[in-house]
Amino acid sequence: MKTNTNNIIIYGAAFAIVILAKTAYKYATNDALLFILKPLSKLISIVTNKDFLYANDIGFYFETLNITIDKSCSGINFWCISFLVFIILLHKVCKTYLQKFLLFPVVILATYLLTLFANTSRILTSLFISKQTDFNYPWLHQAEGVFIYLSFLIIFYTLLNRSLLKYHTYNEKLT
Amino acid sequence: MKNLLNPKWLLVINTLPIIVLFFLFLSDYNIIKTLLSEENLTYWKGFGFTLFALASLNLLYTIFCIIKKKELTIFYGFISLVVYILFIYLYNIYAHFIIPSNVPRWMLSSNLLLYVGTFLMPTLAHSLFVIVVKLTSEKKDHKAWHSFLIAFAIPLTCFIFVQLIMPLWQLVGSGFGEHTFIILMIILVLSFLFFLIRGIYILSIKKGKAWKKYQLVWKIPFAIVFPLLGLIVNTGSFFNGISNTDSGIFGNFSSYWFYIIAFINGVLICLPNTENKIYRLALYIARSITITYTLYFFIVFLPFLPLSVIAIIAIGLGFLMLSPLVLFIIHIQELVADYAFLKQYFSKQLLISMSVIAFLVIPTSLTLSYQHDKEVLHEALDYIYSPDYSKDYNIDKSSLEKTLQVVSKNKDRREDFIFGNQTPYLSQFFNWMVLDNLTLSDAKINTIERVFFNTESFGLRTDNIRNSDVDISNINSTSTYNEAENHWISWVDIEITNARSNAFRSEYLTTIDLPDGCWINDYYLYVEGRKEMGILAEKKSAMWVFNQIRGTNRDPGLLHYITGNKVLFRIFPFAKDEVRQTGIQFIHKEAITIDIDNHKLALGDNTKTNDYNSSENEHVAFVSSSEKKNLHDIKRTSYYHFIIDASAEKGNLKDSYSKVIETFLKENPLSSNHKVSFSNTYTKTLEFNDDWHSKMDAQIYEGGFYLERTIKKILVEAYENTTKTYPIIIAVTDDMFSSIISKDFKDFKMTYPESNLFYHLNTVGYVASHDLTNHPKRMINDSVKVKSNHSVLAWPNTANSKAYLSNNNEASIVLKSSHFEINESEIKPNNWNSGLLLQGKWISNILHPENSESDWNKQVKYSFMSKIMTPLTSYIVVENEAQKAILKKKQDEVLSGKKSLDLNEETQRMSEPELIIILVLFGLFVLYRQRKLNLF
Repeated sequence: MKTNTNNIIIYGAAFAIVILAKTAYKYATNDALLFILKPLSKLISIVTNKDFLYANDIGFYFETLNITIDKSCSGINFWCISFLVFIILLHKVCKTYLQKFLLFPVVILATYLLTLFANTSRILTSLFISKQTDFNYPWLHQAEGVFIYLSFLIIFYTLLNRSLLKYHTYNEKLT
Repeated sequence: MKNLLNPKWLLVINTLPIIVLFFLFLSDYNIIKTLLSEENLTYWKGFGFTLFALASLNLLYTIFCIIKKKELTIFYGFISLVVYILFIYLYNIYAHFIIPSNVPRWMLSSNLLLYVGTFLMPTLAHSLFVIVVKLTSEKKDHKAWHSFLIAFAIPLTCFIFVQLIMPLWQLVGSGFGEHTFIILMIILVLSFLFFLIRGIYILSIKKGKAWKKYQLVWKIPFAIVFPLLGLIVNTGSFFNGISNTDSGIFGNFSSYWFYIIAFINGVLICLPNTENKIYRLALYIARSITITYTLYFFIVFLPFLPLSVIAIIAIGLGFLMLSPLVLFIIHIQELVADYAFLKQYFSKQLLISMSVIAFLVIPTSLTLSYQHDKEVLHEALDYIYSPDYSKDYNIDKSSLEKTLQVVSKNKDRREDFIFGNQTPYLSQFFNWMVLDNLTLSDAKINTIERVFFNTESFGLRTDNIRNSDVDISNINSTSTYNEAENHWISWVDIEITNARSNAFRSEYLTTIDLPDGCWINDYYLYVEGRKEMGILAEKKSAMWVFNQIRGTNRDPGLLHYITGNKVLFRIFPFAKDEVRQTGIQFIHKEAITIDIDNHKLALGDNTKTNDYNSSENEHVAFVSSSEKKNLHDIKRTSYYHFIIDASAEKGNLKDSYSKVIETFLKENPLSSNHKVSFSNTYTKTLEFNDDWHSKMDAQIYEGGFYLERTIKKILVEAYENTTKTYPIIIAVTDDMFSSIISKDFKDFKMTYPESNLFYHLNTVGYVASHDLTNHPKRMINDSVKVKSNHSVLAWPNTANSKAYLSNNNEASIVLKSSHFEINESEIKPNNWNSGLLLQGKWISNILHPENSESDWNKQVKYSFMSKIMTPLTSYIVVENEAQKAILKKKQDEVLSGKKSLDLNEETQRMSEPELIIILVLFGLFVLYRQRKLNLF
């Protein structure tokens, strides 16, 4: 029963962080999200070799590609979900309270990097589809985003789950 | 039903609806917060925190019960019922503080009062279920009819009470009496529902043979008869005879789909549950499809459940309001039974996936249908307001008709009871999805209806402007020549006096015809002794601001283009004997004469300037009146372009058309290749050869006579193919008055340099002349001979003419390239050449409206930069500092964006997918994986 209560506290805290993040995001401007938008735009710029301009009301504008990367492209949704998934999977490994609480910043950082990677990949794929083919439907852009995000989530979820399973088997063997 | 004691239900019944409710209130709060006073805010916070606290306590209790694996208790039922009723009750009492009367209702997304009822009612209903289940032991032999008897005795007692005792009770009027009465009513309603649900519950737990054997006896009324009867009663048919109006007591459910699905759903519920697994699977899927329908009505009627008792007392038909509730219970029970049976033969995953897919069938179909409506509406708007004259359109009229009906209904302010002519929740969804929560003006709806359906819904009101006694009492002009830039700047100062003897506030209104190459560059108006300079604003926002201010009797002045080079000039208000000062600045290349309200003013002096005053750049050329004197005149070959009225019900005039055209050609012979266009919603153009009769026979006669489109198409096509021929337009119709022309063709004047005239040939053979530049539907002369020997001026010379100009003494503007981009560095303030470029771009957009939308932002910006008013902008003087600040801010916003940062429609936003989509899909994956792991 105690484990159950502990789990609920961890889940509650994780959900509270996600709700807080989503609420803060609702009121955030592009300026406030620079910490995630700028590296993302830099990555896109490096891969595509195209320059961008920035303004708070518009976000990062790639003139030659005719795209904008603004608040709505920040990847916050992916970050929230991957954060939840990682916390739910990894908290079982942590044995002490200190470990459990240290897990939060570590996961936030790790999922931040994962988000950057997944989001860059999503935007690049979308660019590839719209520039290289004649398919220019808004729903296709959404569907492609869903596909890429889900692929990343499923891959990382499976990998993590498998590693944890191995870790448990190893632990059991030791004991 | 015992399953309802599982605490997990509370997450769906209580927590989720309250979260949704919070979001709905939050979105409306963000819109209206500036209109709320301190007192209102206190109520918002008070009710918000109370609901938050209630929901949090509920959630904590739910988590506690889940962890401890406990069922919900009867105490929870009682406490929750009392507390939430109290909350709703207090909310209704203080509703006018939460949404004060000064907040316009159109600012709110929907009926916020009803939201509270709708989203808290599941909690109330669930609490009542909990109480019923807890108080009705399965061990005891309860009699269902006892409960039903008590349930129906309650409205009966109330009826007697209301009829006999209440008239004698004098306390009802006082505050105390009112509250006592309402609380008494709540208790009675709860008791009624308690015994009713208890009756159904007893019947369901008994599962006796008789109950099963005669199930059709109660299934048919609740599943088929009552829903259909309810839909009919809702239209008011029983009270007003057969009603044709598309509105109802609880909303508009007049679509025949409601009746069809109600019937199919009823039949599916009544079909026997046999042991054949394929049949049961089909039934399960079909019932899963129609559960959305049952669920929809269950949600719609939830807030009205308490009213059912009152409705039973008042009109005896209140039991119909209960049928969504009963139907919902029966439908769920049938699905549960199907699932339990099919589980023996099929995997759980398969059954759940099938039911989820089936559940989505109706919502998906609805969404797809709305998406189609949206595309059709946009296509229709493009067809009328930003058409591509070279493209053939084919628009789905039935979808368009449906959308227009919804838009018209939205505008209908008459609300019957709660939803009136709206379909609850679906109308909001439609408005959001199809119309982006916007609406169409009455004039636009009328135009679309006339073009596509040859009808119209709105009688348009014309502005009632009181200006008969307001006149110019003094007018002066001063012109200065800018030698560096080679242009004139002229100020015209005007003094206007109101000679009206009564105390009504008057308005000054006049139009000014500007010659080509002359633009308005500045404007002022004296407001309370202060000289207020005009602000150049985007035309639509300026007109909106003007009308707002005019409505509150403040001081605005406005200048804007209405058609071609015609500018409307308005000042408001004029008190009795008031004298007001105003002034307009013009920028022009050569000396001109301008007529303002019958006062002719000579601006500039040609003797002081160089010879020609003509000017030309890469895209546009200004041909001054002096240059035109030196151009050679030529005569182009004319041909007739007949426009035949092919609108609805004109098919029987085919013979008359042939006859009058033949007679006309005999009387007005021209030896050239004529053309003929059949005009209705669309325009179909053919060569006028021997084959045209058979083409006329094959033509479909439908929609309105959209003459405006056909004329524009003819003019644009003739202009773009600069040849030595020109069309003489002959409209062949029996009813010129019914043709659709919303505006004159002054904007297109470069396309008809020969003559402003076109002709109407009626079915009797009479020919009347009409003016393209002035009230085109109004006849100038009847029984006229068609003139065909007009001359034009070839520019720049006869040998290599790039354009043909009107043979008159007025300057002309020539568009050298029909598509071009303005280089921002060429736009400078108070610069005549910038005006020429802007004018060229405007003419280009007239000929190619399909490009105008994407150019719009730049056009407004360039107008602001050059300070020259264009047809997209407007000069306005406002009195209030706040209004000035808003307009200035708008202007700065447009101006501050760098050129490369101007976003157009095509700029793609790399938005990420919605959280909920990923969450649901990933959740399904995890669920699937967990199940798979459990299996092995």
